[in-house]
Amino acid sequence: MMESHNYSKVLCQSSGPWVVDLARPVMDKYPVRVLRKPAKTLVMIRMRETVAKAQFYLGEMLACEAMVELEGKKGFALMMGDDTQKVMAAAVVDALRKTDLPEKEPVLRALEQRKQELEKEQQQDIARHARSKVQFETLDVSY
Amino acid sequence: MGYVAVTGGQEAIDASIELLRDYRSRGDVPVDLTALRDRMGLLIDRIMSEAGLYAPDYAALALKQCEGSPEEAVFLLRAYRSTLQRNYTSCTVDGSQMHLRRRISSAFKDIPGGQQLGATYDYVHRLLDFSLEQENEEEVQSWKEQFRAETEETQALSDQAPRVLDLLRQEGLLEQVEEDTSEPCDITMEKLPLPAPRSAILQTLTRADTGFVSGLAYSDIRGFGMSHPTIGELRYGWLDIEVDSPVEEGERIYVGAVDITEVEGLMGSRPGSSGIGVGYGCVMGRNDTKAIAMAVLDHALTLKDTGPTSDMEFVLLHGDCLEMNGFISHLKLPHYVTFQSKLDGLRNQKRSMGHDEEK
Repeated sequence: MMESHNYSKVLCQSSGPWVVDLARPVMDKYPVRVLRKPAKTLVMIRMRETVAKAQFYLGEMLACEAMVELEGKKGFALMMGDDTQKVMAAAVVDALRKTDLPEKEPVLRALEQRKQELEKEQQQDIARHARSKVQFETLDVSY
Repeated sequence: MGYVAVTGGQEAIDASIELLRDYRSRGDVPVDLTALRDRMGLLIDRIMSEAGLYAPDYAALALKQCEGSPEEAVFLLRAYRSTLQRNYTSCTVDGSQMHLRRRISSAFKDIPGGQQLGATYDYVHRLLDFSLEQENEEEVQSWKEQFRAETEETQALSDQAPRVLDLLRQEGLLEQVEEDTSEPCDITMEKLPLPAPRSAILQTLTRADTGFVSGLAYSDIRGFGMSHPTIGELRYGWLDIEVDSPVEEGERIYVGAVDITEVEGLMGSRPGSSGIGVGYGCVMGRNDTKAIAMAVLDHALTLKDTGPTSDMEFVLLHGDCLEMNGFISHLKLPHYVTFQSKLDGLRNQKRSMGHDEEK
């Protein structure tokens, strides 16, 4: 079973329509209480550099957040970009995985499958870039 | 200096704004935002870095709105950013966690994990490609499909690697710098303190205008400073950004991935030091030059030198895209009263000199 941290990664990396389709059966069937309306926000990126290991702020990223309640369980999502429908659907999925509703298992299976697809795409991207690995040779010629 | 307000000209200003719209809609081919975002990636990266806001879609929108002017686009993004609430700060990320797509070293031929050129203009001929004038999108997509199909399926490749300079650190060959454990200063929330703490220096440089940072670093290397840099490592890729979950204690939430270019520059030894000094550069997006230049300036600011690049106030207070362009730009606006006052002063001076001569 996928670790809880990875749910948000799969949802974030998937397209908006895919996430909305995933949550739609739940949203259509059960009452979803909106605790925090989908809204844009900023996330400041905190980094650590290497010279003095000091932390500094690199800049902000635009993100969207939403919080819902489903069957007494809170669901939360925060995602880069401004897709309010996607973040709302992701919050519902987050709440769903904490419930015992029958829709939970098929959704988790879909997330697991999507995770594998994303990993495959990532591996292909890594392999494409790996073709540009270079081995420079020094010559016995000096200028 | 005092300022005097002016009024009037509303109709002319309205007409000017209409003209802007007319200029922006020249020709009959609209600018597609998705194409702008996806195929002008380096420009989008530069705008986001200088605005200090990672928002590729909005950077494209800003560029469309202002006819591709980087300074106006940065202004638009900064202005928009100021309307939003910042509810989160990410968990601390480190360049060593980067998912690498490019990684080079000009100091070492062989590095653990290997050098990877990635997508770079370093080795292309700078010749105009006239075939792009007749570029056919179907052919582009067909080429892309073929290019991607050529990639061999291999078993679980890693896209992370240790830093090159860690080897020198382990050997004790790098300059010992005292660890800075202070809370970072945020120059978007408070006035830049001088002398600036390290966090404020890095935040200021990473947001600075690419041209300003590059020009200053060039001047430093050319002889107005003390740097003789060698790139220990330049890495480009993306970092996973996470925040602590507000609903599940101890859990983290994945927010997205941010493209980053990070540089560790070997700057030579300073007098009395037993190790090689390192300069650090890190910028949003794909921008080798800015990251290298930032590393040069980061190190220059630690030197007790009389050159301009070691003058903290000079370097940190003049490179912000919005501030520098805003100040230069304001010179175009009415200064009638101040200039008339200068003329009055000069006329009075001439009059009194003539009066003296008559005497």
